[in-house]
Amino acid sequence: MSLLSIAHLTKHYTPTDLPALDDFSLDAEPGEIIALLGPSGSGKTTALRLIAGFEKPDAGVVVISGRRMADERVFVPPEERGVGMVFQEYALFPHLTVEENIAFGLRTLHPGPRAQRVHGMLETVGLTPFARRYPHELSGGQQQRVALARALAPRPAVLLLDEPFSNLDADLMVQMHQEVYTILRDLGTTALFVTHDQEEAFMIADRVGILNQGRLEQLGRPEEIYHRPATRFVARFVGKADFLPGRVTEEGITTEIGTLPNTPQFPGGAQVEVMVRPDHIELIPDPTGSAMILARQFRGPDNLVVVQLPSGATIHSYQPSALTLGPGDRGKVVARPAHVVAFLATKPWL
Amino acid sequence: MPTRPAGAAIPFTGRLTRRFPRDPWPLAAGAVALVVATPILIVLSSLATPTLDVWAHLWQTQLLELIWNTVALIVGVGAGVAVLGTGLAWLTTMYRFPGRAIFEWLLILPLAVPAYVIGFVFRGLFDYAGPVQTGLRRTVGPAIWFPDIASYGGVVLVMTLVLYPYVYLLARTAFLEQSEATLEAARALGASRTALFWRTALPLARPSIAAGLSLAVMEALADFGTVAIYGYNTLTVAIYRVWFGLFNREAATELASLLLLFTGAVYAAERAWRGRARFYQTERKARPPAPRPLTGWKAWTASGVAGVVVGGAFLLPVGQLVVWSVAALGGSDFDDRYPEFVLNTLAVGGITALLAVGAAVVVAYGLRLSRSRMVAACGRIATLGYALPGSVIAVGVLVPLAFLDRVCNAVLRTVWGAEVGLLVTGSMAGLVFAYLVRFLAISVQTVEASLVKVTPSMDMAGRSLGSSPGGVLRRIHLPLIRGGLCSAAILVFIDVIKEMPATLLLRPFGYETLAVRIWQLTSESFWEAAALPALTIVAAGMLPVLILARSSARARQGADGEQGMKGSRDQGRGDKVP
Repeated sequence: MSLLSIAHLTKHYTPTDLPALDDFSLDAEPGEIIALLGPSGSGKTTALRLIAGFEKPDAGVVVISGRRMADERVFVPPEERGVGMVFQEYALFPHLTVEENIAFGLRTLHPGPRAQRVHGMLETVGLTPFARRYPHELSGGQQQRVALARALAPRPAVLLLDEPFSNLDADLMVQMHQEVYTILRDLGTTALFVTHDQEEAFMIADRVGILNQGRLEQLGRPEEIYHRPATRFVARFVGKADFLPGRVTEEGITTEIGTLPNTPQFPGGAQVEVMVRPDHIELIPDPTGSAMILARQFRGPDNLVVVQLPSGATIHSYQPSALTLGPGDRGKVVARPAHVVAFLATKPWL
Repeated sequence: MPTRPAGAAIPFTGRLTRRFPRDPWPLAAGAVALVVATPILIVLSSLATPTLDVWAHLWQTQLLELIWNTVALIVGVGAGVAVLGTGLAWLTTMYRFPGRAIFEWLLILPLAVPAYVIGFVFRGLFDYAGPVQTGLRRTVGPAIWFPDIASYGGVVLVMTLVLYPYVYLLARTAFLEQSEATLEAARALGASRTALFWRTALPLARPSIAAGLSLAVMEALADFGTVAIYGYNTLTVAIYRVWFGLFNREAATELASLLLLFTGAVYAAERAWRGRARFYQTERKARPPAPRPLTGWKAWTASGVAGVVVGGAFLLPVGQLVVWSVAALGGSDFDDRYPEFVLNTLAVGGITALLAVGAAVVVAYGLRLSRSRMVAACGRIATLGYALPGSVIAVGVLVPLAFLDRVCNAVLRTVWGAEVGLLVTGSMAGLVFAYLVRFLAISVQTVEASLVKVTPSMDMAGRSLGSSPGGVLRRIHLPLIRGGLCSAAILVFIDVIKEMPATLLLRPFGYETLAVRIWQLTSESFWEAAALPALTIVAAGMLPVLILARSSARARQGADGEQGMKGSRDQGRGDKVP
């Protein structure tokens, strides 16, 4: 049985506008970590608010641990849902110490077990020496750990995290990714977190859901999302992607940079757009080659090269850090995709 | 109950499922608002049913003059307090100059002085027969020209000097809450200190300035004592005269409804100017702006400006009151009932302040929880009372109270066959109710302004941790806005003890407060005799202002560094452990 089950959840903030969330369905298994990834305004925060009970859905069902929290008749208020929440700005209570913050949700426990639980949580997040400090006396990373401990202390069935890392600087962010991941895994927490950072989503989540304009475009393991995007939007949003026109022939899908196997099994003669990622594009230096380098961006470990094809189309390619080619140099382009991803062309290519 | 394994979730004690709950808070807010709004609605309804011959008569006599005078008054006072309040707030938060630390709180003191007190002192001092003009004529010659104090300019000057602290206080808080980082960012982008004020600090402080300005302008609209003493005909004076002089209740009510339209316009203007701006401060203790030192003539000019304001609005009138009071105390006609006036005044002030803060918390929290326009409208209507002159509220209050008395008596008659006569009309309850109607706006605005600074994610965090909306209020909001609650109580208290016309009309028979006494004396130009009650009001008003000054000094100190935060934190601890 899944711990969190959401079916056909829909929410309009104003009746005339497009829905903020449109027919959103998702099931989370116990202990699973799911990331909701999407640009701002894609409905990811709305999804969290609906699950936590801060919004009433227009339609759809939310079931947590087998209990119906929201449907067309029932609406359970947030304080009775047993859902933990971690906020972007942490929302620590400034008038309470670290331990008082953590104990906030433990009112139904007797003082003994409560102190024990607080103590345990402090240990888990490594803040025992800071128990009596106030939030403003802590660093950003420490504040975040308090927020996490506070949300986890009542042992919520599901933990919701709203852009939990976006207030941290880059170094700390990487460290906190690791720490939060370890804590959630150790406690076996089922967690749903919202982010606009795909690296973060891939690093932490078992499954990633891509939201666009209120719709869940794809839900799957990070590898699936990256290598087999279900829609053009997912392909573009996750990682870099260029699209080249192709035609389905008997040999496969013929494009400007070679013929690729027709693994998606499009009908013969169909016009398609093939997704090519920069890491699948090989560039062989050749003064007589048909492709020309337009620009090169040195990124440290590698180079991102913009290549113009004879048709005028441009594609990107990752090249080794020591690349000596520069703008104006010519070469030959070969595609070596891990999986062939293509979509039927929406309009005929001119 | 079977023992639970250590890892088990905390059981949820709430009902298993429920239909969409009717949140009690917005409902309670609506109910409070409705009760408080009843007198206002009664006045409003008379606007909807105009008596044409009354209006025709008003038009023929003095309507245009009244409207013109009222508009001129609020424009003049509004401009005055905006410039003076914001300017002084900027000066004392951003610059260091001789005496700044003292001026910072001295500038709040005029809050303790009612406009009619400064009004009658200035009149007594600067009138043709007053000591200043008499002295000038004696030294310079009888032809010396002196501006007429009983004029438009005089009224605007007096009211500006009394009402600027509303803007000063709120703007100061807003400037202090702006973090140094924001201002530094603006400076790094090349903004000069002047540009910084106009382009960064002022826009950020705009919601606070708008709130302070609307408080001041509404007080000017509602003022009765000053304009009456200065013979400046505004709507409030006309209402009073029509009611008491001509006993024409209809005309008074029609004029009152006209005044209500003015209030509506001021409200709309404030909301529009504040706009949709909501400025949340995530970090509670952002580093506050560090004051820059001023040097040379600039420093002395700053001290001079602050000194002139404090001198004119406080030291001069209070000094004169002291002189007159000493003279009166030495005289033979000292009033034996003076202690009774004091106690009466403190009692109504204290009771009303507590009730007003309680009601304000309900209304402000209901507004926060609800997105319904109905509740929002209720909240706005409930706070309109601030601009209503006390005499109009008295009329609006008397109608429902008389109805209540009739109902009570009818019930008692059927149950026991006896009547008790007037229970609530002309009682303390009636008076306190009128005060609540009049001053709820202050407490609601203050509490709302504090609540706005608590980010909504605090509410969500509390709710997701198992607290009901009431629990969130008690465990998170109330501790966080404690300072705001204190400010609200103090502001209401001060205004109640100053309130003149509502007290005059609704006081229980023979119940005399200090304000009542002052009116009785000044309406017959006994300036010296009115000095002692006036000085008492100023002194009573001082105590809360001193507390306010201290807490606002602590806000600066607490924001300044670790030491201050420790201080306020230890105090927080002390509150929790009795």
